[in-house]
Amino acid sequence: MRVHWNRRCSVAVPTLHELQTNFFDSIAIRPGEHCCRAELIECVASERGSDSLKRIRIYADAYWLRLLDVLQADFPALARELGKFCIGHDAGTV
Amino acid sequence: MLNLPNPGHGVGLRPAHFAQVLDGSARADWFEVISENYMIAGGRPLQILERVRAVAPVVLHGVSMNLGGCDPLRDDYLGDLLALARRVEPAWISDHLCWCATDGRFIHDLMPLPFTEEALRHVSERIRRVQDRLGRQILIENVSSYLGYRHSTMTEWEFISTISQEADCGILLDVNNVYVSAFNRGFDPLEYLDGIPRDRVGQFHLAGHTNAGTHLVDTHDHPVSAEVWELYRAGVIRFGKIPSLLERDDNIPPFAELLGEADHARALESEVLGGCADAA
Repeated sequence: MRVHWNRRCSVAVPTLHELQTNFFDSIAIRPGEHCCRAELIECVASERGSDSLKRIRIYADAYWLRLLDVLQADFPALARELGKFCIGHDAGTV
Repeated sequence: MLNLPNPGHGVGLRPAHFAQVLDGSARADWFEVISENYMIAGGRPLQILERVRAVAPVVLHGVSMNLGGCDPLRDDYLGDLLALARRVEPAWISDHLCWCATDGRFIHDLMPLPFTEEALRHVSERIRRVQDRLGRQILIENVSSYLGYRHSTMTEWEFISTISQEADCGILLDVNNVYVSAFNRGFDPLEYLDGIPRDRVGQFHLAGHTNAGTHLVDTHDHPVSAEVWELYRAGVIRFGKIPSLLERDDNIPPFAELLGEADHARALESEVLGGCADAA
């Protein structure tokens, strides 16, 4: 990461490309909060009392729900198993 | 400056309403379609689009141009879009101010950009290149967001306004997205509208959202909320007579219900602008 510092905050500022790669890898490689990169969490502002991880989780959940929705049509058994794994409930109820 | 027609108050064309639109029982001032669904050489959807185009203006609205992404602009994508535009002669073409792919990997979502000088220069340059390729100005839409970045150095409205001037493009102002983002990120939606230049807005989007308790989600599966209608009213006061488009992507109701919401937009516009509504 090419690091420089923003005068308005104390976090290392990623380039646009680094930010997007961090974001993608945090939400779309594997489900679960443990996959979220620290560099991304540090970049996300905590607003309205919600922490950064919860904000990122909104995008992650949406990604996996879209994937499950698509799989449900042609591969319902796979969707069901993936659903248990990634969001903790049966894809059939998505 | 924008030089776009004003076809009135339209509805997003969805497959659930194809039959009614084609038999003439479902009419709207104009229709917006998702560009990517028709960027194909042939087939039934394209035939339907051409028949719709014969009876009403059509606008092409893209979801994957990846204007804010760092991957090279896809020349095949732009070539297909240009071919579609030549075929259906849309009133205008729009896409989103966001990123949706990185390193060749698509996320199928409208991802938020940081509001930085780097992003501003990057997106402006890409919009200019797209416009050169398409031979026309495009409109860029503000997206709903669920987070902001600590390293942003300007507001979202400063960001989109400056890009519209740097790239000489128009703005598709999604009123629901302004409301959703304002709720989620804690800014004043009226301040957002006041920060957008009057001469850059070429279209409004109207849609419904879902209240998830801690945040609002831009689901497009509900009628437009009372709060968003109020914000639309403020938008008409600021920007004047601008074409609007009612979006619904899930829980799609009978066409008459959507048309009723488009008619409500028309009524609000007339109420705000009075006798000036037809002259603007």
